[in-house]
Amino acid sequence: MSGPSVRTIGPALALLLAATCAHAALPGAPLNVRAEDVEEDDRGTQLLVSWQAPEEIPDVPAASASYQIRCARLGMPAEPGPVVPIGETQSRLDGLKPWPWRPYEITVATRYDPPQAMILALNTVFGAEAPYALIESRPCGPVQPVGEWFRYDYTNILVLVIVISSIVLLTIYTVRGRAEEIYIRPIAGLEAVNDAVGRATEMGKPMVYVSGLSGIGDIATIASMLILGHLSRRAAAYETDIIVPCNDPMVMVAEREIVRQAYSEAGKPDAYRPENIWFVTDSQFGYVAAVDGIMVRERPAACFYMGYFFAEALILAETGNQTGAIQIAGTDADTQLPFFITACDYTLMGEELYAASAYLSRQPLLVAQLRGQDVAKAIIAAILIVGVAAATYAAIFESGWLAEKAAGFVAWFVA
Amino acid sequence: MNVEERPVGWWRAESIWTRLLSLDRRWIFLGIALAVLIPIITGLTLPLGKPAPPTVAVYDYIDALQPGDVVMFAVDYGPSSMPELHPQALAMVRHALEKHLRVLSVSLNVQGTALANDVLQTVGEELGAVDGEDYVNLGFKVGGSAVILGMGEDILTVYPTTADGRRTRTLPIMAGVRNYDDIALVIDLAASNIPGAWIAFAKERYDQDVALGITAIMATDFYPYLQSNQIIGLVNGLKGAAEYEALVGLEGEQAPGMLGMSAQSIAHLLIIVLVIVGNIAYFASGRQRVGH
Amino acid sequence: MRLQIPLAITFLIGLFMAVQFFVPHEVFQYSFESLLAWVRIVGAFALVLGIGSLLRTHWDKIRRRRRDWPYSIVTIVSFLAMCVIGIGFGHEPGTVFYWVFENIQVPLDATMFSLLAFFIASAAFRTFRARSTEATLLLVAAVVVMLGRVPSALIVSFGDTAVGHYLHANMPDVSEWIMNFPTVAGKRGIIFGVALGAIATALRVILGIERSHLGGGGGGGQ
Repeated sequence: MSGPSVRTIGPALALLLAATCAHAALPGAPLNVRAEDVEEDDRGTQLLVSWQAPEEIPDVPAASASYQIRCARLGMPAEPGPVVPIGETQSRLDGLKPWPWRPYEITVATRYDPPQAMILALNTVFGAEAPYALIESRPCGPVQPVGEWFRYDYTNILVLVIVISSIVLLTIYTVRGRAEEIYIRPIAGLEAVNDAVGRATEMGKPMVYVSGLSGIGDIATIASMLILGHLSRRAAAYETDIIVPCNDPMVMVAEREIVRQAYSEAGKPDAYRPENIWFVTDSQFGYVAAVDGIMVRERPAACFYMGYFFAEALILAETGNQTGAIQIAGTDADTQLPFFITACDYTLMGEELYAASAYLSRQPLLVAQLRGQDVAKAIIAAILIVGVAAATYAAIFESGWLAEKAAGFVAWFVA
Repeated sequence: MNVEERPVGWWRAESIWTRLLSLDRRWIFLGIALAVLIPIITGLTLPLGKPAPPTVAVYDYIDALQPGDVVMFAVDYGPSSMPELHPQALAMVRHALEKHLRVLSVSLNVQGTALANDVLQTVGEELGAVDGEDYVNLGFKVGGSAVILGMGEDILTVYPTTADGRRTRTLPIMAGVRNYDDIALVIDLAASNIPGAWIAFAKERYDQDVALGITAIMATDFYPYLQSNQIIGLVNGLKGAAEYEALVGLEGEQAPGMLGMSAQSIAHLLIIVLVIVGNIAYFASGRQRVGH
Repeated sequence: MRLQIPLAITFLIGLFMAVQFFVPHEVFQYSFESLLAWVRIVGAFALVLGIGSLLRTHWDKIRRRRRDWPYSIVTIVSFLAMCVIGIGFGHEPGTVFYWVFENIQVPLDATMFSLLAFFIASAAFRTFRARSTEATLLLVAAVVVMLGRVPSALIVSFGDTAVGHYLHANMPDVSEWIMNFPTVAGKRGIIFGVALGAIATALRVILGIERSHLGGGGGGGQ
């Protein structure tokens, strides 16, 4: 352990100190430095550093004094931490890592800065870093912050995620063998997909596919890409062109791959035309103008709007309606559903968009998953009914064992 | 609609209704254009009515903040939504700067940066606020929710420089501002699903208070969050902008929201009249009986 | 192998993203933030690919003199001009870029958006009919909400009368009530369905049950 030391940073301050505070040597360093983990810091990146003020802080003419926390990984040079005014005796040190190797060694220093005007002048001459002087305390350590491995306030979410996922997976496992017996409510919009491809083939006109205006991270876009996969397999089989203007470059890259795969699987890789899938713009109405233009010029036989849409929904669908195309929309954006219902021939509402992949492919696993989803929905409906009853009971009978339990039940979900 | 399907006009009035039902849509377009243009050209002003509680909630929250508190405006809209959202931004930024709050602006929409500049400079110049001390535009960052999450850890890492290239760390306005812990309120102005990301990540993950300024068409999307207290308030469309302007005490050219409301009122009225006329024509023409 | 590696990556990353939500420890959060940074980086590269595809598509149109090819020249020239102006001369207020943005981009975008008002009016006239009890309820609710959004329209309709002023004062509250309760109740129902559908879709992508995006023929793992 080394004792208190004077450290100078920057040649200019050496000159400054020589003139002003050459006598300010060892006294003046903070005492009894301690560092401990911060309880509310779950990440494990913070330490609470506390210290005692030195008996006397040497007065340095024309220099302002403060404390600075300094932190070093064992065996490595110290990094400057936060600066706090004289009078404070604790500060939080953030941005640390709770790795078990190389713990930290903390010191607190009394820091002398030249006057503000001089800092500005020196900044101009020497660059961004202004020089200062430090009188460092004895180091404290080795210490390291401690992180939490579970977010207890999310217990209710974890339980529900596990329950719902287990129900879906368990149902898939149990009913997959007899998936063909499962009744799927007819969805007119999906029944019409085959007709739309057939119509386009007969008319010798292309189809336009718009996969929404949200990015690749949106589950509606992912569902839309799954439908595109099915649709492009059909389009490939009938050798019908499918035009996919994109408004997100990452979606474009993924969709090109999906359509290319579909054409390969259909045994017609040569019919795949990458120039039909391109990035137009990420500007909402610039994109709408471009797609409207494509629809008016190409007069497609069918238009598909699958994914998440905003205010452009009606502008796209009305234009498609005017061109006489058969239009099938699907979105989980409930505010746009009325517009699609008004202007399109068929509309997939909300979760029907997610069910489309199972519906179109009739793969046993996907169909079984729909059943799982329904079972989970029934359980959520039951929880809702019980929750409403419990909340009502707790509101009417404010005290008593049952009222407390009812309130506790509701609170568990809300927390 | 096929001509053959129309009931034969045995009574003259019925054929008028039938003809009305197949009215060329361009007449409707003309009607809407006039309904919007005439109030704007004549400068018609109509009384506003009392402000909606979600607008008042945002106003009250900002009004209760102390000088020096930090408010972050996420300008996530583009030019297309300017008529509704720009008046909101102008009124709210003016309120914040008048209260001597520190105003940071970020954009997750690339076009939002220029619009944020416009708002900050217009209001800043009028109130004598200083760029870098009272307000700063940090600009656009690609990444959407990743940017929101990143700022929960360290704003300076996500935004090492401002929109115009200054080092963020060196600005007086950033003193003591590291992440959402140091920000009193985030107000997201958007015409997309970005507010959902602010709620999911800034509010839910970092417990940051969030308010929204959105277009009227999106309002139903975000009312559930208001009820569940996941947002502290909601300024809804042009009406919300006009209400906020009234709360701040703006009028005339400083209140573009109020000016737009007259045009919107007349256009709404016309649509209601169209719906009513359409229904009268529908029943009078006997269409409902022939299964249309 | 061509299918297995993407499936394994999807499974591992999907599982990690779900787990990290519940683990606040720096090990997970640091990895999570690194992944987010990767997303930003991949996004930037995808943008390059996107712009490349845009230019290639239009260049191809010009080269082959496809229908309406002169518009492609406008696209490419506009793109290059904005790049040169923006990168070469900056994009702060007062620059040419900013002027073009304010005077061309803003009016163009606003024009496209304003089409919505015309289309809504035309669609409302064409399709909004009181065909049944439910449709009539919806229609009445819609009119009340619209009037609540623009209460001054009531003054225009009823003039400076007691009825006009009464409706002007109270219609916004009725509109707010419809938005807050019946609308939110209906919306919550849709949200539950959508959320469950989203969970199930995420599960089947993460677990590799859904493979159509990888060219696996729609479903697999049997």
